[in-house]
Amino acid sequence: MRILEIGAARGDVTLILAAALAHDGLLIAMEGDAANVAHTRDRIRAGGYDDRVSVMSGEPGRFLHKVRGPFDVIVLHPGHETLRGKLAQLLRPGGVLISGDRKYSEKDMTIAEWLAQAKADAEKRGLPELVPMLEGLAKATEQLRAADWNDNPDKDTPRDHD
Amino acid sequence: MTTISEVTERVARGEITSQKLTEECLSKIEALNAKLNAFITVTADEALAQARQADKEIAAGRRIGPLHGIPISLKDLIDQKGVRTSAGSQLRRDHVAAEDAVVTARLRDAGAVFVGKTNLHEFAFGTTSEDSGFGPVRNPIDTSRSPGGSSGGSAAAVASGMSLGTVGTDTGGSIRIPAAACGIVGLKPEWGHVSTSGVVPLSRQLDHVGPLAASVADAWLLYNAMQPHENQIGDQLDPAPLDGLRFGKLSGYFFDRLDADVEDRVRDTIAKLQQKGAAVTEVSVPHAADMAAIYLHLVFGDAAEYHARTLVTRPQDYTTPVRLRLEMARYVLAEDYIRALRGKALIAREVDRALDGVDALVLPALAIPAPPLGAQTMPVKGGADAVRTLMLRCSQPFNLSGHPAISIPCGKTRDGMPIGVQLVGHRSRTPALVQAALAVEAAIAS
Repeated sequence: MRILEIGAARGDVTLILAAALAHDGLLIAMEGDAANVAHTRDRIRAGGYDDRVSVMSGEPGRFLHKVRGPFDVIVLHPGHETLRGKLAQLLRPGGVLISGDRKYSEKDMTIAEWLAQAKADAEKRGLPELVPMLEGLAKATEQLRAADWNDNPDKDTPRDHD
Repeated sequence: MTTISEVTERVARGEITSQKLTEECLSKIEALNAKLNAFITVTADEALAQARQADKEIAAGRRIGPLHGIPISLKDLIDQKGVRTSAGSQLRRDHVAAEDAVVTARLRDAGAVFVGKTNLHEFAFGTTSEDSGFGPVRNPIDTSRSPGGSSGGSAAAVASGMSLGTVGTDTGGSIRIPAAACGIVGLKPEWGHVSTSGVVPLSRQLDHVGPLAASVADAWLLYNAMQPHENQIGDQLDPAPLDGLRFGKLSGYFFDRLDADVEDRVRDTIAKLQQKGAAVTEVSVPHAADMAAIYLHLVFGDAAEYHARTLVTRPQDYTTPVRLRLEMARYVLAEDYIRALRGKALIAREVDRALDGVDALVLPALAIPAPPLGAQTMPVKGGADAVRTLMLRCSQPFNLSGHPAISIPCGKTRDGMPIGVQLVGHRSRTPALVQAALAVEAAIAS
C-alpha cells in the first residue's frame, strides 16, 4: 500500500495513516512549513514508524513533480485543492483520493437541505400554508447557527464560563 | 381604576361588602363582555356565594388579609376546581378541572373571590389574543385594537373594572405585554418562584405565573399571596428612596425598533428618575440580537412536544393560525434546540452581568402601542416590523434569563394608547424590584 499525504501540518493524520500501514507499506507526507515538518518527523520517529514514512519538506505545489506515483490512496488536506488534477494522475487505477476539507459545521444538515425536506414533507401532508412559514423559521435557524457563541470541535475546549 | 389596596381598607372597616364589590364586577362583565370578550366563563353564582361567606367571616372578626373578599379573575389556562379550563381552545371545551391549580388554591386560602376565567390567545401561543377558540379579545381603551396577549382577557378585565386583579401567565411576555397595552401593572416573577402546577403549559422552561393589577402595590399583594406561606413576607412594601436607586438603561437592541411615542415616553420616564436623584448608567446585553431566534426554537420545540398527539387526532379543534404554527414547530431539529438551550444560558449570564452594580434594568415593556386587530406589521423607527416580533422584543429576554420583571404604565401615545416601562430585577430579590417599582410608579404620577 502506497499513500501520499498533501499538507501534513503537524502530523495528526500522518500518525493515524502510519499506524494503519503495514511494514512493507510506504507513506509520503508533504508539508511546506519547516517547523511542522520537524515536529511531524519527531512524532513519526517516536512512534517507531520511520521505516515506512517519509516526511518531505517543501510546498506540495512546488515539489509534487519529485514524487513518483502511482499511489493507492492520496489524502488531500485543505489549502491544496488546486493540486487535485495533478494528484489524479498520481493515483493508480481504482485508487482513492480523500479530500478532508469538510469542517464540522459543513457536516451538519445544511439549512437548505433541511428546508427543502421540510417543505416537501409539508406539501406531502397537505399543508402548503407551512411553506412560507418554514422559510421564516429557516431564517431564525440560520441566525442561531451563525451565532458566535456556538461551539464546535475546531474551537477551544469549552470552559465553565462559556 | 379601583385598586385593591384602597378598597380592602374599606372592606376591613365594613364600609363596603365583598358582595357589593363582586356585584359591581359582575355587572361590569354583564355590560362590557359582549363587546370586549374578556371572559370565557363567568362564575357569578360561585363568586357571590364566596363573597357572602367572606362578608360573614369579616363581620365576625375573622378577616384573613387584604385579599379577603376581593373579586379577581384567572386566565383560562389556570385550573379552578369544578370550572372548565379551556386554554382558549375548543380542544378543551369540555375539560373541567378536578382540582385547583396551586396558585388558585393559595389565592383561595387568602380569601379571594373568583368571578371568572379570562380569554386568551389559544394555548397562550401568541401575543395579540386574537386567535382564540372563543373569539378575539378587544382592548377596552380602543375596541378596534388588540389588548395584547396572551393574557389579553385578564388585562382587559382589570383595565375595565370587571375584576380588581387577575392572574396571568408569561412565556415570552404574556403578562407584561397586555399590561402595557391596557395601561395596568404586570409582574412576571422570577422563574420557578410561583408554581405552574395546574396551569396548561406552553414551554415549561419559560412559563411563569404572575399577577396583573391596577397598581404596583396590588401586584405585590397578589404575588405575595401566591407564595407558599413560609415565603410570604408581608402585604405591603415601602417604596425605595429614588435618590438611592441605580438603574441600568439597556442600550442598543432594546431601543432600536420602537414606536416613536413609546420611545419618547420611556426616555421621559428615565429622565424623570434622574431628575429625582436616581443614578442611570447605560448597560448592554451583547447577544440581544440572537434572543428572538433562541426563544423561537425553545418555545417551538416545547409546544410541539405538548401538542404532538392532538395535532394528529383533533386538528380541527385548533384555530388555524395556532395549528399551523404548532405544525411548523414540529420541524425544529434537535441540534438547533440544543443550540438554543446554550443560547438561553448565555443570555441569562449576560443579563446578570448587565445587572452588576445596578438595582434594576430599565427599558420599554412593549415596543409598540396595542396594534389594531388583524395588523400584520406596525411602524417603528426605521420602517415596519412584524407585529409578533415587535410584541415580544422587549419582554422575551427575561423569560430566557428568568429574572423578575415588571411593567408599569408610563404615559400614553398621541392616540391615547397606554405605554409601559419595564424594570428588571436581580434573582432572589423580587421584593427589592417591587420597592423600586413603587418608587418609579410614584415618580411617574408626580
